[in-house]
Amino acid sequence: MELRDLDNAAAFCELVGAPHLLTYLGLTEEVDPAEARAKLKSRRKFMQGMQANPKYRREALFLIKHFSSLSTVLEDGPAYLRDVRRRTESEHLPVLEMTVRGVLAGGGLGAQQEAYLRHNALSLGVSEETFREVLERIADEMQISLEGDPLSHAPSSQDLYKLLGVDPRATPVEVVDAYGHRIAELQPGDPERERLALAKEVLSNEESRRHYDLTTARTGPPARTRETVRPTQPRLEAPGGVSRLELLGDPVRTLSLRADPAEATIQLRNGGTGSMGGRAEADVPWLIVTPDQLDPSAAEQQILVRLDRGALTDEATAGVVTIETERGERASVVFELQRGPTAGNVIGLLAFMLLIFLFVAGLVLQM
Amino acid sequence: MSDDSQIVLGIDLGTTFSAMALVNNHGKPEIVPNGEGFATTPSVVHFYGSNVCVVGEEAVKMVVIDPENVVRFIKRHMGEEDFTLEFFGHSYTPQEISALILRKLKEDAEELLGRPVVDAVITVPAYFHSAQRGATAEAGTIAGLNVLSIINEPTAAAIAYGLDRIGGQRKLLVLDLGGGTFDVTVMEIRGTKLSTIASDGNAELGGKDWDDRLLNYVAEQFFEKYQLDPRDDAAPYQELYERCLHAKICLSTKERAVVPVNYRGKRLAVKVTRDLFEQITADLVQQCEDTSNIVLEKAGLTWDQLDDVLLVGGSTRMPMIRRMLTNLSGREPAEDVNPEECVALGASLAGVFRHRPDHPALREKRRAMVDRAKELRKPRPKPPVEPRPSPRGAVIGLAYGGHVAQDAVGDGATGGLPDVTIEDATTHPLGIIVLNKSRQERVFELIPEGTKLPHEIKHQFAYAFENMTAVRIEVTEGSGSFRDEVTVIGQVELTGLPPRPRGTRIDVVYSYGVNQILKVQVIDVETGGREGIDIRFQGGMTAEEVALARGRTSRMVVD
Ligand SMILES: Nc1ncnc2c1ncn2[C@@H]1O[C@H](COP(=O)(O)OP(=O)(O)OP(=O)(O)O)[C@@H](O)[C@H]1O
Ligand SMILES: [Mg+2]
Repeated sequence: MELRDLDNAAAFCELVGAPHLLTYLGLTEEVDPAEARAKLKSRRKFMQGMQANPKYRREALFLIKHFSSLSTVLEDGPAYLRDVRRRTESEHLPVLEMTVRGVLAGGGLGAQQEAYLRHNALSLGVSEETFREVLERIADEMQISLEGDPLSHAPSSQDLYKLLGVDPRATPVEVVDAYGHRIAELQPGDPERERLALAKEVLSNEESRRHYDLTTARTGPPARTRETVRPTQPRLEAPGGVSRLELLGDPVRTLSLRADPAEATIQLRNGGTGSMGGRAEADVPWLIVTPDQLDPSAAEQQILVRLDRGALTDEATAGVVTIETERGERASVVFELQRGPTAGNVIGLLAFMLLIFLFVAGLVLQM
Repeated sequence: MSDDSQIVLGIDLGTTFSAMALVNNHGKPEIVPNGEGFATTPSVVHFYGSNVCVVGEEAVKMVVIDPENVVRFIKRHMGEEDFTLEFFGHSYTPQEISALILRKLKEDAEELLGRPVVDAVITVPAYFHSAQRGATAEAGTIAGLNVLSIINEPTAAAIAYGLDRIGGQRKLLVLDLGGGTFDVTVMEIRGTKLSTIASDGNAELGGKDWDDRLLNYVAEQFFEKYQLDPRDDAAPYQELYERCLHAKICLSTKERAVVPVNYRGKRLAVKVTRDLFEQITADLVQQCEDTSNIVLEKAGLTWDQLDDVLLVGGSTRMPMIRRMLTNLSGREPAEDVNPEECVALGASLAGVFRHRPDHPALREKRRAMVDRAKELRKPRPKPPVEPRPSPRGAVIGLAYGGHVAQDAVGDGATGGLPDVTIEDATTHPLGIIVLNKSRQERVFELIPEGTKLPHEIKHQFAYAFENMTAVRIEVTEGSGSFRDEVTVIGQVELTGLPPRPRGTRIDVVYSYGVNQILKVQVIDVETGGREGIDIRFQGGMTAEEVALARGRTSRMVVD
């Protein structure tokens, strides 16, 4: 099976509007390859009689011309289905890759960072397998070990802003300028050059910078004060307008076990013009979210997040509350548990990060 | 027909119908009817078993009961790579299927004439590109024909039409709307020379598209009533298609037609008026109109500068096409053309003009001219008023419709064929891939579109790099400046050169003959070393594949 065969299969499924070849043929994913190919063959035969039919012409011609490709991919069903999944994911891969790159530029990956990256990758429809693959590939490229003691990966000093010596509010032009100055100080061949180039690349591109900012909790002034998340392309507004989810306040919170009641509020705003229905949900049992439905008509609203001590386990360190609107926009807030000021927790705090993947597709309608 | 070696079969290999013609000894082109006695043969093949097939009317009949094994419109796929159809475990390329049609024609002609027919001239739409032309030539070879040349359909039509107008000077526009292709060509007759001035078209627009519009309309009406779509099943679709085709033809003469639909026990008679039919196909006519204007502009002419307007192809029988062209040109299209036959007739004439300098008809004509010259030299008060009685067919006229032009040949001599020169022109530019000053790949055009054939051009290029020891010429077809906008149709390499500096001169010669063969030569200016190839436009099959296919299909039973 060659890439061209898989490309042809993907193009064909797009043409006929089927998720993949097996659904097109009315078969299940577990079907025997020989049976699938026999079915495809009889479909082709039928299509030979339809090639002049205006309603089926494109389908028939494609099937006739690329029959051997389509038949080849059916030989190895599992590999084909993996490819189908990979293609669905690939829309989101550039964003994921850039984020992983940005986080790894900190010198390593803490367990918490990895958990949140994974969480968000999965919510984008990227499989665990692909996520690992991306992570390992990029770590390999950047010569960073993913194993070992998270303590040695403390990212603080490797902040990309600090690396370039710019303020988190710096404009893209200032970023490039700073890069120019810094690089001039270095000898050719200095490994630092590569990291600088990466920092410049991540920070001078609006989208990658946004993801970097949102992924990496740093000391110093948070970059999000600079940022309001905006679509980079003009939106096509539905009649009556569309909603836009905006999260106010800090996306990383601390819940102290000593406080009673231990609770926090999430402030939301609808920055768009349409109604904003949706829901809020925690990924751990020990966080209670009220209300769990958004008020569609409210311009601003609060979600109360309360700690349920009864459900709390000893290993628990953090939980995420995700708000998802009906349009598919998402925002997440990380609640970190503070049991007491231990060294591990300080490191954990630094390692905490947040991912807000505002679904670009949700924001930019039908581009 | 006394001289076997002089036979050249002119073949119009059409999308829906094919026809063939021969020039008789007196220079008159005649349609050769098929085995069933018809002037045209449907270009349809039905496979009814392993390596057995039937071509023509019989195959058309079978389409409603065995749609998977009937091939129509194969011409639309000529030159397409990867396109093969399967019948009874064998797969066939478009060339092979076309070859089966050609073989039927060839064998019917042999049967009728009682002698072998080998040499042929086959026509293609002017707008076909090289792969499609190549595929057509390959189909001929597979069918066991010796394809002397491939000529453009409008050129052939113009030859048939213009033959009795030879001698003067006139410009004509040929609009050819057949079953699957559309071409507009401006030609010029000047003395005995017939040349193409400009041409454009769409190899994917033809009567079939009008059929489909009607079919879609009828199917939608049926669906509205019963939520069933007869296009969803192969046999009902074919049956409906036949009925729509019939209704379309009716609408050319009648104001209304009815398409009866009977599908899954539901019945509906869909009424269609000519008005409605014209409404749902208005954009197709518009395309024809736009192309016509473009071609005229390319030719640098205005509509009133044209002397004749010719309608060729069965679809020009639709009043909307005739009306469109009459409105544009301000004149009625020429009447004495049979749109389905003139292409084959012209092809047979082209075969004689190009490939049979010793054809009896040409000799007869030359003799007549010498006689006449002698006669004129004699001091005689007046030539006889009464025309000499001429043998049947000796007056050059058109073979169809019984039309005979009175003494139409400009020099006043009767009998035989004048020596006509046919100049085809390229419809797609030919170029070469080079590096520009900034070392970027660009396509350099050597033979522009509309260049009269035959044509030869020499151009000097220089080494782009130091110490090159080999030069590669990549021949391109199509317009555009970048590699991915054109098609590379062949390449030549000059190797083993002594290393020399940048700027070393190399000559490249393209000569494009009437035979669809492009000769490319690379000449090292300093050493005189040269390398050349003939690029016979390939339709995607290698010579071996063609030979194999020929062997394979020759064992097939075609009836
Ligand atoms: N009276 C008519 N009215 C409308 N259409 C007609 C009529 N007669 C024939 N046709 C159409 O003309 C087409 C056939 O014309 P023709 O034989 O010139 O085409 P072809 O040579 O097979 O195709 P092409 O030249 O495109 O390869 C068919 O689509 C047929 O339906
Ligand atoms: Mg034709």
